[in-house]
Amino acid sequence: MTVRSNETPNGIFDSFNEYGKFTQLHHSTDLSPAEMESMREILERLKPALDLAAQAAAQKNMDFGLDLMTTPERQLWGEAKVMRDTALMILHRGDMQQTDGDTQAFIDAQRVAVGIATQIGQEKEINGSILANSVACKSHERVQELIEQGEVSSIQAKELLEALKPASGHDPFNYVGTAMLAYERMETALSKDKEQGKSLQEWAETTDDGNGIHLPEGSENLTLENLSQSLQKWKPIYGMYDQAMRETDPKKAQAMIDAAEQIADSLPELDRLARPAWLAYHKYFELRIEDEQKMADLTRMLTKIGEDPLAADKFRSPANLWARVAAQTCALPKDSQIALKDGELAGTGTRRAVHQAGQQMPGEL
Amino acid sequence: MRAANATEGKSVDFSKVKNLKAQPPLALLGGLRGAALLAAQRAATLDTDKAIEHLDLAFSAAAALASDPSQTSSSTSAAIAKELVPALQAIAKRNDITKERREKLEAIVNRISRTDSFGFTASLAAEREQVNDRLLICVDRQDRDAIEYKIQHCRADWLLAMRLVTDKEFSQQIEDAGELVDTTDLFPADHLKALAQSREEWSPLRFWILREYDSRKIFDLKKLTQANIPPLRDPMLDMFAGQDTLSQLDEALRDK
Repeated sequence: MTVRSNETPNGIFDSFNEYGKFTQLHHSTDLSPAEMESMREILERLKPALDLAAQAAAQKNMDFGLDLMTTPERQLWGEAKVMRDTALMILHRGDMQQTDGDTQAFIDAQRVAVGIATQIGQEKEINGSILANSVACKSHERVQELIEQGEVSSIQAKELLEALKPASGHDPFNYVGTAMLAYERMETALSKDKEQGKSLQEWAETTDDGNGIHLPEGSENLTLENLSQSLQKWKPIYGMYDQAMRETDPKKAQAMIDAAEQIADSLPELDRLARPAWLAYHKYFELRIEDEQKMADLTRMLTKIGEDPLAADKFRSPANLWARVAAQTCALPKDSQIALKDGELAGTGTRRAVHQAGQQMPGEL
Repeated sequence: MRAANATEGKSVDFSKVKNLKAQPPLALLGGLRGAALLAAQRAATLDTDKAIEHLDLAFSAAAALASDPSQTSSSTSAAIAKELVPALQAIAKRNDITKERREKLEAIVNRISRTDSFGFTASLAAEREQVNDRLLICVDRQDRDAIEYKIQHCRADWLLAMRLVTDKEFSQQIEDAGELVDTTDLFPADHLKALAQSREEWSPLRFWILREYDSRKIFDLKKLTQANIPPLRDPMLDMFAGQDTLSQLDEALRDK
């Protein structure tokens, strides 16, 4: 699939101007029936777009047609951000469908979201990898919550495993190579600026995607040639980042990142001026390691539930169980509650209510 | 679903339960209190071994709330334990209470920790942190120190009220609450109403703060910390009452 030039770069959501409204409502803790209805209406209106996105997510290959070496960073991922928002909307819709009792629709939503994440993560550029990872994490969190609620059956666990598969394993979102790409982007941009005869001051004013950076004291007499020499010192460090991303053992990968950071910290301030792209590069790599660990744990849980239906109980969070007990107690008929409070267990209907509650509640009350 | 599943977990954090969105916090507290009472009531009608099992579930509900890092949960947990005293006394007095059964009862009562009974200390610390995080979102260094000082040294009842003002909806009563789950004795309706009014007054300000934060402007939050937020209840009084309850529970277990 190829993304064509986008005449409405912000895509479907800005045209409806409803994504913001939807997420605001979705994050509210106390929705009125009218607000719930409003959410459903928004989703209903966006249904054709979301269904189309689901079809697109099933495509295996994605080509954004980006020139990764020369396109300014902020212009790289306009379409991907729309894709991320679409994936989040689909996940929101899945949540509501699950609340309505349609767990299959919830599973389908995870499949679509992970499909979109995988597509975003195909370009081997750090921003795409981060976006893709963030979408996948949103899906993983939801599945984790469902497991903690004890709502995943054996069959559903197997389906969820299948749905999440593209986002599991080592480096599903192509972080490997993104550090060297950032280095090469910086090298290319510097060469171009040197060819144009720019001074260090002029470079500083336009770098960082046009935001500009502040030059430290002592850099007055430096030139772009000096900056190029400083940049060379970052090559092995960025090489270490990439090596860390190739490492499958999380502890070893983290140790490599720490070692790279130690070297980076030891560089003089003026050399640090030449650090390519993201200052917090290592943080994103650390997050990837952490998220892959979480995904591995999630996979283990789903596999166990898939193999043994009783395993679902082991992963159920006690808070969820108690919340359910509370909800069921609140649902007891008012009349029986008065009698119970007074200790009159023999009243008409009371025994039945207690018996029913006992059957519904944990512990056979 | 078995009781064991719900009672196995040592620590519970209800703020992480996704489906609580559809359940007002008071329904959780009232519902668990009602479930504990229900279990204790049923215990009275059962043979001793079954009765002990039911009492175990009732104390487990109190222990679950005690482990939840929230002062409202701690207060409710202490209230549940107080209501369980007569049930424990009645079972402990039965003629067929053997040494083994008494040990079981002791283990059940010991679900309530003696180092931080009903979790009041942990809840207070957690809420200090929560309120701190919420109020310090956008203040300058000078105000930050003043607000931090205020939060670290404020009374538990003020902190609880402040958390509820800056937190999710707490004033929503349990819809059509029956006697068993009603919480008006713990959280009186007029107090909840006053709290809701306070929230009404401060919520627009919170949105304003967040908007200003985006543009990195500074807002003086001292005004909020000096505001007269109505107290809901005093958790410290509940903590002292909880100590009395624990003594009564221990007394009930003494071999007579």
